[in-house]
Amino acid sequence: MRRWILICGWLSATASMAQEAPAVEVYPFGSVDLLMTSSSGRGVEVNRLRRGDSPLSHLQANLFADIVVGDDLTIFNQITIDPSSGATTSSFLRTWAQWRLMSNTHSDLHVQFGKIPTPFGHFTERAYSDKNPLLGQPLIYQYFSSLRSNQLPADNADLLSQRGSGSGGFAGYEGGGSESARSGLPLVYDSCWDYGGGLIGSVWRFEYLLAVTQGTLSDPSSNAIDSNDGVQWAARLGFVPFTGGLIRFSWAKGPYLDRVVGPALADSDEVEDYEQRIVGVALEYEIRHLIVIAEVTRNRWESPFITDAAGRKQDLKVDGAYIEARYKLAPGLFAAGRWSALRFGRIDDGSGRSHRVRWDRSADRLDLSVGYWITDGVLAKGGIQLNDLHAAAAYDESDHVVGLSLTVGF
Amino acid sequence: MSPARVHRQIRWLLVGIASCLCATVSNGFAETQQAVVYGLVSLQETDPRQRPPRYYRGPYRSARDTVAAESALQSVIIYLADVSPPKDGWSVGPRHQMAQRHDTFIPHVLPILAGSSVGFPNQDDYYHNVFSVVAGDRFDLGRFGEGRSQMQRFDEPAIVVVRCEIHAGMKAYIVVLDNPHFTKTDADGQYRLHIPAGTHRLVGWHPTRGRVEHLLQTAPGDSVRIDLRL
Repeated sequence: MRRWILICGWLSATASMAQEAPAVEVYPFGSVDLLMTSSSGRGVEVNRLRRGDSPLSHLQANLFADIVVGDDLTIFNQITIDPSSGATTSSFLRTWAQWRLMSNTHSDLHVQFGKIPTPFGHFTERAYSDKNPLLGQPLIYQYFSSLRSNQLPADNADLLSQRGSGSGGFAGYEGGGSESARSGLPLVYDSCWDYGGGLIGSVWRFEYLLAVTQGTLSDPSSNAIDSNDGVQWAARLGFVPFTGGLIRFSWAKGPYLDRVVGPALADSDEVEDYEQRIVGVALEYEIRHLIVIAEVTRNRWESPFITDAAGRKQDLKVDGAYIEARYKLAPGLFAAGRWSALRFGRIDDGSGRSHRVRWDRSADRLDLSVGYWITDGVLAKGGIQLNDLHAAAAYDESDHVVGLSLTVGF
Repeated sequence: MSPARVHRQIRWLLVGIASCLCATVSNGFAETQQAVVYGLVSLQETDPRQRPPRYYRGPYRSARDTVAAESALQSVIIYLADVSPPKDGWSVGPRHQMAQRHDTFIPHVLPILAGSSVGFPNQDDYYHNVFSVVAGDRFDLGRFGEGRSQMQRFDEPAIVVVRCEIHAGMKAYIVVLDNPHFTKTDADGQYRLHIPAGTHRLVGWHPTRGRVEHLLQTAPGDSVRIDLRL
């Protein structure tokens, strides 16, 4: 896979350079985020990402340097600096190229390759603090379930024993794989983009995307090392029914298990046999000072040792949703809210009584905020985030965050 | 016709003739109080293009091609910095316009007299949003679609940075001035400005090159060439 990405990149660069020496322009810019938080319970922990960074980090900088080569090729570059993370610099590097193949008044077509933006849903471009009206992110794009890609639950009871522990690094599944602690899988891990390529374009009121990537949405290969021999296919189709409206359908499937669990599988099985499959629909409506965005997803992971009461393999399902609204109260002043939720599917509890329970603790998150653009490029936000992680019967845990943030663009 | 009526008509006729004579003399006097300054503006380097959008936004949400609003040379404003207003203030001229077309504000730089209004017609077939959060002239016209136009009045002298929230690369400047003695350069960087004779500071301003000043002394009827480099 990596070889193909390099070949594509080389071909594009060669084709571009083969023409007359194109004009090259570099556009450097960036932003710095400062954040103060006060939290209860695991409020901060349930926002933390795998590298140790977080949308609630006290200090974070995003630096960009977009390079435009001639009229048709743009190379986008970004790196995030977050002192709270001990991860390698390369894991924070995002570089991808977009090459315009054709464009006219009715249609256009581009090819993308490199570490490409998440080819799913409707959140990626709003993940940055100056675009995200709230402090946190929707659960669909960030919250870690208790399923891992590199350690297998031995059976249903083993999986159920770790409910609610996906956000912190955890270990203990007895089905095989890596013994190190690691967080679980989110539905879509937007914080880490994946290596791959694809086509993106539009015809009339439709937009489309077809992409192939090394990893999956839930476990992208952010360091260019593929964790298995399969690829993920992703597609997105959008339609603009009227000005200010958008509906987007997304779909993706690909093997998500790490090859490290291979020895634990039956002889007839390969890690590539177990896939993540996810579909989603996003709606956006804008009018004057109001924006409303809603998204629902249905996800399933195939797992080798999870079975129903009859002993047949059973997929692990999760439904996710969020609705978000932002209203501008005055020039530069806005209020926003987002409710997001995850509902995990039910599996047999393994007790032999055909009792079905949710395989992970469902979660609700309510984000509320007020923001004010102090001047061009300087945004102050104050917000609260209420997280409720469900027990089997009732709420048993409340993990809240109150935060003040300042974003300075340059 | 009665003699009284004839007298009344003659009286009105004389008043009219006297008014015309006064106006003619007054205009001639005003013109002789004016001078002309003209010249050529040169820029040390060219402006980069508009920053490309980082995310593909699809049809009816972004232009498939952008247009150059105007060259960097056309974005220079020449104005007088210190001109006393007449007793009844300056009269505000016609309504100005800054269009949104192909994800670009046109014109890129618009000089206006304080108290003027600017219309912002959307000439693309998708939403734009026009706003400014720079202190003094904050406004937000919300999102509006093709063929719609919103109006904003600018009362205080300021440099208003105009943006579109939807399309990050869109940026323009409205320079609100306290007197009507201003002009913009043409595509070749040339300008011509009628000014009241006397001693004034002539200012050249560009969004990214900053400003230069030139102390100017003119007598009525003078025509002075001042070249500026930014």
